Amino acid sequence: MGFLGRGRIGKFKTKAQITLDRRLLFRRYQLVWNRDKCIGCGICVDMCPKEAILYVPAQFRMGRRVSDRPQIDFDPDKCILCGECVVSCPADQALIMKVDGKKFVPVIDANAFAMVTRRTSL
Amino acid sequence: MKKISATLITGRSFGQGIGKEYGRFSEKYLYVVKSCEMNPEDMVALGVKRGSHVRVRSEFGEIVARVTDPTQELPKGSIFMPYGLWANTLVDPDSQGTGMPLLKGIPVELEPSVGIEEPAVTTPEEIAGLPRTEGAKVIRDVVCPFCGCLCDDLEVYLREGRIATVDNACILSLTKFLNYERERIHSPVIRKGGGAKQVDLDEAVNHAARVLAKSRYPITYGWSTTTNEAIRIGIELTEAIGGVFDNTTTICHGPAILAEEETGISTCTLGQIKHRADLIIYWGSNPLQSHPRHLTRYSAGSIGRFRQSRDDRTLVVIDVRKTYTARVADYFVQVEPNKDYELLKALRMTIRGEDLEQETPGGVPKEMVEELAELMVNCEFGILFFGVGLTMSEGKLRNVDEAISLVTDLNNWTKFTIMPMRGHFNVAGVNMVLSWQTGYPFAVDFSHGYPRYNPGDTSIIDVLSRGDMDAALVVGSDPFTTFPSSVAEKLSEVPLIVMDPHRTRTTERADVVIPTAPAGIEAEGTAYRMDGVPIMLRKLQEPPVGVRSDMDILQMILDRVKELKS
Repeated sequence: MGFLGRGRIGKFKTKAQITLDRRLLFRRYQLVWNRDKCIGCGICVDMCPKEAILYVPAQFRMGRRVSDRPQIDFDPDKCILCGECVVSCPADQALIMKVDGKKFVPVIDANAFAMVTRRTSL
Repeated sequence: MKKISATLITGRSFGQGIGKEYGRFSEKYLYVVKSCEMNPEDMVALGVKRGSHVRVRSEFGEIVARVTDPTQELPKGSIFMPYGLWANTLVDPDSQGTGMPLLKGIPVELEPSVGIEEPAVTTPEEIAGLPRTEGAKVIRDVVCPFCGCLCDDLEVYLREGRIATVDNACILSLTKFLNYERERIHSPVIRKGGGAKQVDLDEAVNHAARVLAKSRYPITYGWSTTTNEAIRIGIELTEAIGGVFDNTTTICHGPAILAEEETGISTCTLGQIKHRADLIIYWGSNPLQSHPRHLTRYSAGSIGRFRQSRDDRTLVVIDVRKTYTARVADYFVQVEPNKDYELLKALRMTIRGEDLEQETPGGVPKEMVEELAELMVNCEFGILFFGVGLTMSEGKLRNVDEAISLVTDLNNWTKFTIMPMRGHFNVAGVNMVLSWQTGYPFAVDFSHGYPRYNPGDTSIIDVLSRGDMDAALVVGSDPFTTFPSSVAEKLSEVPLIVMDPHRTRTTERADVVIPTAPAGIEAEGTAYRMDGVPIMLRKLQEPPVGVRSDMDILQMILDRVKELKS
C-alpha cells in the first residue's frame, strides 16, 4: 500500500473494493467498502456527518432503471472514520470498519448515533 | 398569511425507530417526531425554509412542526411526518367500520408559524477507548426482538454484565440492544388522588386484579412486544374478566387480515423467497427503513440456492414517494396517494387481456402498467410484499383484497405469492395465538362469555371512541402516542393499568404501572416471524431485582382475579 503520512487517510480503489486507511502512532483504522455487497440505497450518504460520501443515483425513465445501479464513492479528505455509515448500512458486509485488523466501530463505542437527528426523518 | 393545501403521509423512519429506543421522552425522539418533510417547491410557495416552522391543520387537530428537506423525494403537495404524538393529532380517528383509523393521505392545510430553531446535534470527532469486544463474552445466534424479520444470526457481546455491542444487527436492532436500559421503570407505582406511591409487586398486582375483577367491560391492549406464552395467559385473563382483547394489528395490518378472511391468501415462508423468487415487489412499504435487513437477508439482495445474486432478481417498488428502497429498485412506479386500488384494478384488467380506457390509472401511465403486468406474468416465482401504505390508505381492506385477487389471477400463469410486512416482532404471534385459542385473529370480545369478533365494533379504536370501557390493561404499548389523539384521551377517563419496561406517555398517565423485563433481552419465549414461523427468543441477562417477565406478572394477576371472582 505504500507509505502514508501519520494521521492522513489514504484511499485505495480496486474493482471490488474501496479502502480508506489511516495509520496513527499505535493504531491503524480501516474502512472497507465491498462493491458486490452494496445495494446502493444511499442511507450512508445521508447519515455521514461530514458529507464525505458521494452518491451517484440510478436514472429512471418511465419507471424503468436505464443506468447502472446507484454507486457511492468516498472523499478521504472529509472522512473522519467515525463509522456512522457502517452502523446505518442495511446490507451485510458492505461496509466494514477495522482497527488494527479487528472489527471496531467508534460510534458504537461512544453510543453516539448523533447524526440521525440532523436529517430528521432518516 | 400564505396558506397551501397538502396531503399528509405518516410512516416509519430511522430517526423515529432509533429515537423510540432512546426513550419516548428523549431529545432525539421528540426532535424527530415533531418534524415534517416538505417538497422544496412547496417550501418556496409557502415562504419557509429548512429549520423554520409550519402550522399543520387537519379536520381533527392542529400542530406546529419543524420543516426539513425530504430525505426521500416527495411529490409536490405531499408532506411526510414520522409516526408519533404530533402526527397522530392530525389523523382521522374514524375507522370506517373496519376498526382501523386512516393514517395516510389525510388532507391538511399548511401556513408558516413561529418556533424556536433547535441546534443540530453533532458527532464528537475525537472518540477514544478500547474496542468493546475486548474481553467480552460472545453469545451467538441471538434473535432480534425489534421488527417482524426476527433476524436470528446476531452476535451479542457482554462485558461486565452489560451489552457492549452487537454484530450483524441493523441500526434499529443495535439501538434497541444498547439502549434498552434507558428510561427503565424499576418499581411498581400506584397513583391515587393526584399522588404517586412506589409499592411492591404483590401490592400492585393485587390492586390491578381488584380493578379488573370489578370492571364490567374492560379492554386489554398491546401484546405485540411480548411472547406467545404471555399472550396465552393474557387471553385467559381477558376471558376471566369478560373484556375485549385487541392488539396493535388494529393500527397496522388489520385490513390485511380482514381481506385474507374474505379472499384467502397464497403465501409462503421467507426461505422460499430467498431461494426461489426472481420478481420481488414492495407495495406501500419501505423495508430499508422499517425492516432494514429484509432486503438483503430474505429478498432482492439475498444469496439463495437458486437465485444467487441481485442480478438474478428484479426488484419493483410501488410507492407514493421515492423512498430509499425505490432508489435501489429496477422499476419504480409512483402511484398517487390513495389511488392504489385504481392501479391494482388496472393491473388485473391488463393481465386478463382487457383494454384500459383510462390513460393514467392511479397516476401511472398506461404503458408502464402494461410493462409491469408483462413482468409479473413472465416471472418464474413472484412475491408481493405490501406494507401499511396499502392497508392504511383510502380503500383499506379493499386494496388488500384487490392485491390478493391480483396474485390469485397471476397464479394462472406462474407461481406468485403475497405477504404483509408485519411491524412489531410478535404482532403476527398475537394473531396466531388468538386464532388457535378463540378462532379469531384480533379484536375479540369476551363480554358475552364466549369469543365474539366484529371489527368496527369490538376493535379497540371503536370501543374507545364510544367510551364503553370501564377499565384498561395495556401491555407493552403506548396508545397515548400511537392512537389518534382524540381517541387516546378517552383512556385517561378509566382506571388504567400498564405493564411496560420503559417510561412512556401511557405509563405517565396510568393508575397502576408494573415494570416488566423486555422479551428477547431479559425474558425468553417464542415469537412468530412475519411469515408465520415461530422462533425462540433468548434471555441474555437477568432483569433488575423485583422485575419479572410479562408472563409471570400476568399469571399472578390471573390467579388473583380467579380468587376474587370465586
